[in-house]
Amino acid sequence: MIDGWGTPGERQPMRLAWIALALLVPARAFADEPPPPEPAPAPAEAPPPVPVHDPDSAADYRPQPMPKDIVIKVNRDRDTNNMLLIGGIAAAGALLGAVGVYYNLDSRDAAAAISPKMPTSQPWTSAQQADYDRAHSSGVKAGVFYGLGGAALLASAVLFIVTAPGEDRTVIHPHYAIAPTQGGAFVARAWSF
Amino acid sequence: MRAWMLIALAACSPDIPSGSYECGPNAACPTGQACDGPTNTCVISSIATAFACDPGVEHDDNTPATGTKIPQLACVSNVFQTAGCLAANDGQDWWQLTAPTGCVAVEAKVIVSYPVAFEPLALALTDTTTGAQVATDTACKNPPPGGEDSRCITQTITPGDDYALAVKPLGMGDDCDGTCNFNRYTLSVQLDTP
Repeated sequence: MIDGWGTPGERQPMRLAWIALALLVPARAFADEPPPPEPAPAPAEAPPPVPVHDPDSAADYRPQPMPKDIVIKVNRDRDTNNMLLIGGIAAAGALLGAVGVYYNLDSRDAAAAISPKMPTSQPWTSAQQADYDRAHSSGVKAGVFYGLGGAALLASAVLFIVTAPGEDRTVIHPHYAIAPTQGGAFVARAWSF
Repeated sequence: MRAWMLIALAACSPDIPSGSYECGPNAACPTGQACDGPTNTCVISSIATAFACDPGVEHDDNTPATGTKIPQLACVSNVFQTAGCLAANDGQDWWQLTAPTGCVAVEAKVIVSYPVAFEPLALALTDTTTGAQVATDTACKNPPPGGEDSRCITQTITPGDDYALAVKPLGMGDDCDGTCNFNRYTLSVQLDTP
């Protein structure tokens, strides 16, 4: 619109405007001096109030509590006697189980020795009867030792759970603060425990 | 590995099918089985039957004079084999044997074999001509296989004399405390030159 892109009837008021502007500008504006700064545009609306920082009061920066605490759990160590007790019972259980396996295998061997796949044409003698009795007695012993070994292992597991030494628990309450400052914001985090 | 362990740890109880074993001394059988009288084998107790002598092999043979005659054998003979049976409380079976004549020397080889399940048996050879017992049994050099036992007599006999063979209980007590005081047997007789 400045370059007279209007109609000829409109160019006359435009010239008058230029003249009026020249009268309003001070004469030194035309000297060889740096051009004056352009006038600041009129504020459209009132800016938000700048927070006033009171150095005597830290209320604005006081950390606010976070919704979730930080919990640190530290398991306490088992004492040596407890470990020896549980380990000893478990070892005894394993040993009893091993004895059970021995008798199990002995029973199996004795049973296999007298369990024919076809008629043997041999008489049932005291030797076979001894194997039969051994298979039975070793089987019973195997069952007993398996039971004892299993009970010992179970007892050690229960003891391990029951005698657990517990834990040390520390709760940390984190706080944060965000406060606007001139040209930015102030972020702070704090923990209390 | 786990399967092997399961197999290894399983099967601890004997698995003995019925009829797998012959009866042992004193009619011994695995637990749950019993000695079957007719077959001398261990079978399930519910199907076991009692011992009984075959009527065809029982004779009135309780004295030397009434003993069952053995056919006349040659100086060197084949094996004569016959079956016999001692029923419960039958004290002895007698067999009559006549030594052939015309032989330079004669040796009698007598074997009695019987199941070990029931009462063990013994042999005795008596010269009925003189009335003297000339031989008793000994253990055989070649015992029979399986569930049988045997006793043997090898004795030089006098040609032309009459002999009596006694088959009788051994009397050592292996008769199931009296409940299996019987047995069946096979008697073998052969004459040969000593």
